[in-house]
Amino acid sequence: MIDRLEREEPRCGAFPLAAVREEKGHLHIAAVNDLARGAGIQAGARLADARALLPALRIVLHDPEADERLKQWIVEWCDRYSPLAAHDGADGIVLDITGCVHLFEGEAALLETLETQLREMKFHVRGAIADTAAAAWALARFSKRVIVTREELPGALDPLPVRALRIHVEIATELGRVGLTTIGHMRRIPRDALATRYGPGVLLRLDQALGLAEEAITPYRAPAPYRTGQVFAEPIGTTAAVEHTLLGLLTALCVRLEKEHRGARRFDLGCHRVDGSTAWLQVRTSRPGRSVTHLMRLFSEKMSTLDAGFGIEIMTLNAADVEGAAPVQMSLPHCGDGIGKDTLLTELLDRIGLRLGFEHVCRFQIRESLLPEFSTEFVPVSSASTPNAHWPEPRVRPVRFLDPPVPIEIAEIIPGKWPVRIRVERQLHWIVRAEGPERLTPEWWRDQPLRWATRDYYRIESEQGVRLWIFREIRRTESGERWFLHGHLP
Amino acid sequence: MRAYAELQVSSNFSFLRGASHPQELMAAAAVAGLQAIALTDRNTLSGIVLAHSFLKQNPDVGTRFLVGCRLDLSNGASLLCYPTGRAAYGRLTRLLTLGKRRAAKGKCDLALADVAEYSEGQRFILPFPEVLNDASTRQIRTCAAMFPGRIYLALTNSCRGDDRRWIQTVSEFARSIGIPAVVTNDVLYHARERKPLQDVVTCIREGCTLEAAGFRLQANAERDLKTAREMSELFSAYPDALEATLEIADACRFSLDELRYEYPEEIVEPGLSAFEDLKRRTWAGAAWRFPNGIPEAVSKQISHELRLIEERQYAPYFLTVHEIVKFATSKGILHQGRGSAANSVICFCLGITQVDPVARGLLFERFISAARDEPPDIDVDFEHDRREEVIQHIYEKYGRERAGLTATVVHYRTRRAVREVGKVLGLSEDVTGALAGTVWGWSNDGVLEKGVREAGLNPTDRRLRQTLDLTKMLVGFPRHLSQHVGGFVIARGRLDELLPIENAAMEDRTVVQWEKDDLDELGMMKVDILGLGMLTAIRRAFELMERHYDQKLTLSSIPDKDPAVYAMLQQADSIGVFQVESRAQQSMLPRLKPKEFYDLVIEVAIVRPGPIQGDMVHPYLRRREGKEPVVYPSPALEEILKKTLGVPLFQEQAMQIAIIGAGFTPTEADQLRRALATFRHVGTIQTFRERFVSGMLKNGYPQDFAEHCFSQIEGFGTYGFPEAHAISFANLVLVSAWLKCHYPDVFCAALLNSQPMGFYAPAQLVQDARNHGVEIRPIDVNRSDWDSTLEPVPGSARHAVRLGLRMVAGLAEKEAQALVAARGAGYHSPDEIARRAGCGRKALDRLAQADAFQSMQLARRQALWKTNALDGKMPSLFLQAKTNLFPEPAPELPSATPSQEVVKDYQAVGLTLREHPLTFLREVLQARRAITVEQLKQAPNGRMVTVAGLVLSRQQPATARNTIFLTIEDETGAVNLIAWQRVQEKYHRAVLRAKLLGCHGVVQREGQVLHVVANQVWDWSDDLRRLNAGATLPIRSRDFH
Repeated sequence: MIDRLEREEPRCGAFPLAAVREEKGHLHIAAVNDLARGAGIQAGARLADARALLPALRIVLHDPEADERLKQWIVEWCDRYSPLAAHDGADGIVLDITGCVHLFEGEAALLETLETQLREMKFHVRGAIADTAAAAWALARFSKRVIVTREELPGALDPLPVRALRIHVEIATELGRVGLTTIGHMRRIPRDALATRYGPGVLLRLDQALGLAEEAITPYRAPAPYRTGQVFAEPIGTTAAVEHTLLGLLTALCVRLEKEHRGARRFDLGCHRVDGSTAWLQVRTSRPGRSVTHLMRLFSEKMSTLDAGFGIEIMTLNAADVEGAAPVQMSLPHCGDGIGKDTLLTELLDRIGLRLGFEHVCRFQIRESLLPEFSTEFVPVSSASTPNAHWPEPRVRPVRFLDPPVPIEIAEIIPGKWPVRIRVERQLHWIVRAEGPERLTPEWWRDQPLRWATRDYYRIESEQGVRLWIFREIRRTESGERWFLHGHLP
Repeated sequence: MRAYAELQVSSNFSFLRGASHPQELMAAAAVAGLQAIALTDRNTLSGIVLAHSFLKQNPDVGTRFLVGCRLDLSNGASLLCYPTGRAAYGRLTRLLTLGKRRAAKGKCDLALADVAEYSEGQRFILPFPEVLNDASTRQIRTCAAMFPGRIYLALTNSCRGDDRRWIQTVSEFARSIGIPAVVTNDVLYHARERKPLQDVVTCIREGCTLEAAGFRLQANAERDLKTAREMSELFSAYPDALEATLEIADACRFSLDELRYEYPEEIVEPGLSAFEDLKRRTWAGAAWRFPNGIPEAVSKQISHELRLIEERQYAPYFLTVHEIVKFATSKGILHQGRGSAANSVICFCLGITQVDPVARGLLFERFISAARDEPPDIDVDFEHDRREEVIQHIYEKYGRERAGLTATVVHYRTRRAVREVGKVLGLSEDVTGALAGTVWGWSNDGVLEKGVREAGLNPTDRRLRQTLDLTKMLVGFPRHLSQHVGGFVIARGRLDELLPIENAAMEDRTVVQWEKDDLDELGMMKVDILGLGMLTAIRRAFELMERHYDQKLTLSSIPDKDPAVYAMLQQADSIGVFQVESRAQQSMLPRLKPKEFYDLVIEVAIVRPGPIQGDMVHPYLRRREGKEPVVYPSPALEEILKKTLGVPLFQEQAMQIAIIGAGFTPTEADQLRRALATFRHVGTIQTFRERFVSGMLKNGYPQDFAEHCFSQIEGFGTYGFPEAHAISFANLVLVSAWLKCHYPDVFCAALLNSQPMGFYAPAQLVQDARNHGVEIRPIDVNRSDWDSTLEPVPGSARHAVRLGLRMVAGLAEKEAQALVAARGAGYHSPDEIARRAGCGRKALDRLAQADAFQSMQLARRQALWKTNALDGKMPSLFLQAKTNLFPEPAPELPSATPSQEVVKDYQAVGLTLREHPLTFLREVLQARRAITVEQLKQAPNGRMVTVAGLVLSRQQPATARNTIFLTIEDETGAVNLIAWQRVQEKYHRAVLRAKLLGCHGVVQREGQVLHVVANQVWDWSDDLRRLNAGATLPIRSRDFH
C-alpha cells in the first residue's frame, strides 16, 4: 500500500503516513510508512490511538483493490525471471526458478538482479532462495541468510521462530507457551506428540519446509487478450475486402464479449502492409459496446482514411477498455420502442463523438440544488451518469437561465408584493398575472455565498402574454430592493 | 391583526430535526405575541417539562403552553395530538408507552387503530399535505371520519412559489370533506438564524454532507417562529383557519401542574395510615438502633422529624424507601443511604442510613427544606454486583406500569459536536479529528481558538470558522435519551398515565421519558438505587470476619475512636481504603493528619474539584496547622463556618452563605445550586452573580470578599459534597480503614473478590497485603475456590490468603465452580479434572498457564503440555487408552527462565508472587544510573535523581489540566511523578504510553509526601522484552481523567 503511494507520489516519504480502513465503525491503520513506523505506529492500531502518539500523522484511505492491481502487475513482471510465478499471501510472491538460473549466472546473481530492479522501482523487497518454497518463505521473512542449500536447510531453519513455518498464529502461541519457540525445539519433540496436540497440519508445514512433503505452486496466468487476426495468402487492397474481413473479426470478438457479459470502449484495427508498415484505425464508444452492426458503421466512417499501400497481408483487431456489460434484451420486431430508441441515441452519439471528440458531446445534468445557478451542470455524455434527481414537483423553471440576470426597472409596484409595471431592456410590460414568491436562501456553506442574497422569485405574465421569471433580491444591509429577470417561461 | 397560537412546533427533542431548545421557543413565542404555543415533538414528551417550567418561571409572559405531540405512525402518516384535559393526557402517555414498549430503543411503533383507541379527549391536526393524491386523500378522509369534530387540517405557507394556489386547493379539499382548516407554521427553529444549524442537523440525520444533501435541505428559512402579525398577514384570506388555532388552544386546558403525583400505597400495613405506620416503624427502629435505651436527644429529634413529615405528608416516601432497604437486608445486600438523607434520624432508625445524625450534630432541615415544596431525595448505595437484584425486585413489586428508571438526556458535547459538524461541512476526518483532539474530556466550551492553532489549523478559515460556530450552537443539544444510573420513579397508579415509558438499551429495563430535574419540577418521588463497589468488598469482608474470626460486624458497629486506624491513615497507608486511596487523597492525608471521625469527613469533602477550584484547601490546612488565625467575615457566618475553621467546605455551607450573607431566599439558593449543577439554565448564572454580589455588599461585606465567595460557590455547584453525604462516605472510609488496619488478610481477600473496583489493580493490593505481613498463596487447582479464601497459618493468629480461581484470566466461573465441586480429596492429574469435573481443554489450559498445577508437581510448561493433549471437551477414549497403555515419554521441553515465569504470571493472573519484573532489569537500570524507590526515599529534597518503574496509573485531574500525575513501581516500592505541560509536550509518547518509564527529575518533599518532578522522561518499555524473549509484559496502567 505505502509502496504504491510512494511510487505515485514521491513526497509521501517526507512525512509520517498511514493508510486507514474502517472496521466496525472505527478507523484502523492498515499500513504505515517508515517514518510512521519509526514513531511506533503499527498496522492494526486504532487511528485515534495513533493520532495520540503522533498528531502529525497524515492519513489516506486504504485501497485494497489498487494494492491488488499493483501486486498483480508485479507478478506479471516477475514472468521475466520464471514462468512459474505466483501470489503468495498478502505480501509475497513465489517464483519457481528451477531451470532458470543459468540465464542469470547463478542464484545469487538472479536474486540480486531481481531485488535491485524492484528496489529501483521503489518497492521494499526481501528475497531468499531455498530448496523448498516454504523454506524460502521462512528465510525471506525471518533470517539473514538468503541462499540455503538442501544440506544446510535444517541448520538454517532451526533457530527461526515457529511462525516461520506459516502455521496459524494461535498454534504458534500455544507452542510458545510450552516453551517450543523455534523450529529446532519442535524438531526435537516426538512427531506423534506434536500431532496429538496441535494437529497434523503442523507436521505438514514442518515437512514442507524441510522438503519432506510436496508443495505445489499454482502459477499466475494472464487472461487471454481480446484480440483476433487474419493472415492473407494474397495481400488484399480493396475497401470491400477489408470490410469483409473486419466483419468476420468483429463478429468473432463480439461473440466472445457477449458470452463473457462484457463490452469494450475501444477497438483498434491494425492493417499490416506488405512493406512492413502498419495502418491503424481506431473507434471508441461512449458505453461498453459489442454490437457488430454499430461497430461496423463506426469503422466505415473511418474507412476512407485507410491507405492500403501495396496491399495488406495481416489484419489484427484488438478490443481495449473492456468492462462488464449486462446482456440486453433485443427488442422484438414490430414492438421495439424504449430499448431500441435508447440504443439508437447511443449509436448516434457515438458517431457524432467519433467526429467531434467525445469530450465535446455534452448534455445537461440536474444537480440537487434549488439555486438556479447551481441547479444544472454540463457534462460530457460519455461520463454522465443516469440522472436520478428530479425537480421537486411544483417548481417551475425557465428552459434557459439568463446569465447574468438582467436588471429590470420597476415602474409601479404593489408594496411588499410584485410589480405592476416593469421595464425590461427599454420595453414596458404591464403585469396582469403573478404568482409567488418562491423564496430561496443562499446555500451558506458554499465558498462565496455573499454573492447571493435571499431571493423572492415570481412568475409573471404581461398584458401581451409574455411570461417572465423575475426575482427580487433581499439584502438586509442595503436599502432599496433590486429586481432582475432570470428567464423566459413558456 | 388577529390573535394566533402556534400549534406545530418541533424542538431539538425531535432529535436532529428541531434546531432550538424548548426554552428558546417559549421565549420567542412570548416576544412574538402568540396567545399560546404547543410543543409537538416526534413521538416524545421529553421536552415539555422544560417548556412548561420556563413559562412558569416567567409568569409575566402572556403566552400559554400547550402539551402536544406529533405521532409519527408506522405507515408513514403523521398526526399532531393535543390532550384537552388530564384524562386525555394520560391516554396520550399510555399511547406513547404502548408504541415505545413495542419497538426497539428510540423507535416507536403505532398504528392509526392504536391512536383511535386512546383518542378520547384529544384534538388532532393533520399536517399540511405536500401533494394530494389517492393515498394522501384517503389517509385524510380516514382520519376525518375517525375523529369527527376534533380534527383539523393544517395550512402552512412554505414560500415555494405556488403557495396561494396550493393553500386554496387544500382548504377547498378540507371544506369538501367537512373538516375545518387551521393555520400552522411547522416551526423548526425559533429564529431564522438557526437555519444553518437546521441544515447541519438534517445532514447529520441523513448521514451526508451539505454538498450532497441536495433537496433534503429546506429551500428557505421560513420554518421559524413567526409573530402573530406575520401569520395573520400571510393568512389574511383564511380568518377562520387563524381563529381555529385559538379554538384548539382554548379547548386544551391541560397543564402539567395538574399532575398529582401519588405515592404507592401497598407498602402500608393494613389498617394503619401511612403516617401511623411510619411512626410505628420508626420507634421500633429506634429501639433496635439504641438497645440500651433511646437517648433523649434522639427521641426529641424523632418527634420533630415526624411532625414535619406529617405536615408534608411525606410518610409514604419514607416507607417506600424502607421497603426497598428491607428487601436488600433480607437478601443480605449491604447498603447505605448517601446524600442529605443522612441528616435524618428517622432514616437512621429505619436502617436506610448508617450514621447517627444526632451524635454528629446534623440538622434535619437540611434534608427537607422548609421552602422547597418538593419531595425529599434519598439516594441509596447498594453492593455494585447485586444492585440488579434490587432493581428487578422493584419492577416485580410494582410492575412495569408503575415503576421506571429516570432518563438522562445525553447532550452533544464539544468533541462529538465538532466531529459531526465538521463531517457535514466536508472537513476531512483528519481535520475534525485534530479539532476534536484539542478538546479535553467532556468539555462544553466548544473548540477554543487556541486549540485550533495548536492543531496547526487556521482559525480564520471560513469553513473552519463556520464549523466552530455551529459546533458551539450544537453543544448542549439533546442527542438521545439514556437511562439514569439508578433513579427510580414509583407511583401509586399507572406511571404510564403520568408520562411515557420506553425500553432501555439494557434488557429488562424500562425508562421514563423525563429526566431527574423534570421529575423534581413536577414533584414526583424518585429514589436513586446506586451501586458501590466498596459495599461489596465490605460485605465480603464481614462474611470472612464471621467465618474466620467469629466476629459479627455491621456498618455502624465499627469503633470510630481507634487510634491505630488514624495512625495508619496519617501515614498515607491507605491502599484499598474507600475514597482516601487515590493519589490526591494520599498526599492530603499526612497534611491533614486525621485524628477523629470528623477529620475523615473533611478529608472526603476537601479533596474534591469544588474546594480545590475554589481555593479552599490551603487556607483550611494553614488554619488547621495554626499557621493562620481562624477568622470569620461576620458573626452570622461564623455560625455556619465554625465546624470548618471559617472555610466553606460543604455544599450547604455555600448555600447558607448565599442565604445569610447575600440575602437569598432558600428557594433562590436552591435555584442557584441547580443552575450551577447543570447547563439546563444557560445564561442565568451571570444574573445570580450580580444578585449575590450586590446582596453581600448590602449586608456590609467587602466587594472582593463577595466576588471570592461566589467563585467558591461556583466550584461547589458542580462538585461539592453536602456534609451529610461526606459523613456517609466517611463512615465507609472508617470501616474499610479499620479492616485494613486490623485484618489486612480479610481486607485483601475481600477486595480481590470484589474486583474490578477502586483505584488499584490486584497486583498492588496483593503487594500491599504482603508488605503488611500477610502471606499470599498461589492459585492451585487442589486448594483454590472461585473466590480468594483465607487459610489458617499454624502458630499465627492471622490467616494466609489463597488466591482464587477468579483471578485466572479467561476462566469461566461455571467450569471453575465445577472443578471445586468435584474436587473431593483432590486431583492427581489434569485429565482427572477433565474427567471428573467435565472441564474442557480450554479451561485447563488457562489453569496451566496460571501455573495452578503446582500441587501435582507440574511446572507451568509441563502442565500445559499435558492439558494441550486433551482433546476438546473430554479426553478421547482412544487417547486415554493409549496414554494409559503406553505412557507418553516426558518430552524435553526447554525450561523457562525465572523472568519468563514472571511474565507468564502477569499474562495469566495479572500479578506475580515471584520476584518483581524489575529485579531482572536492575543491572540494566543501574547502568543508566537509575536508583530504586527505596534509595529514593533517603534522597534529600531538591536532589536530581533518575528512577524507573512500571507505570501503575496516570491521572490528569480536572482541576489541573496541565499536569499529569504518574505512579510508577519498582521492586522496592512505588513513587509518584509529576509531569508538567512542558515535559508532556516534549516527551508526549513516553508520558502517555510507556509501560516501563524512566524519569530524571527533582525530588520534592513536603512533610512526609514525596514525589519526583520530571525533567526528562523515557519510554523504556522495550527493555521489558528482555524478560521473555520478545514478548512484552502485559501490564496496563489505570488511567483516570
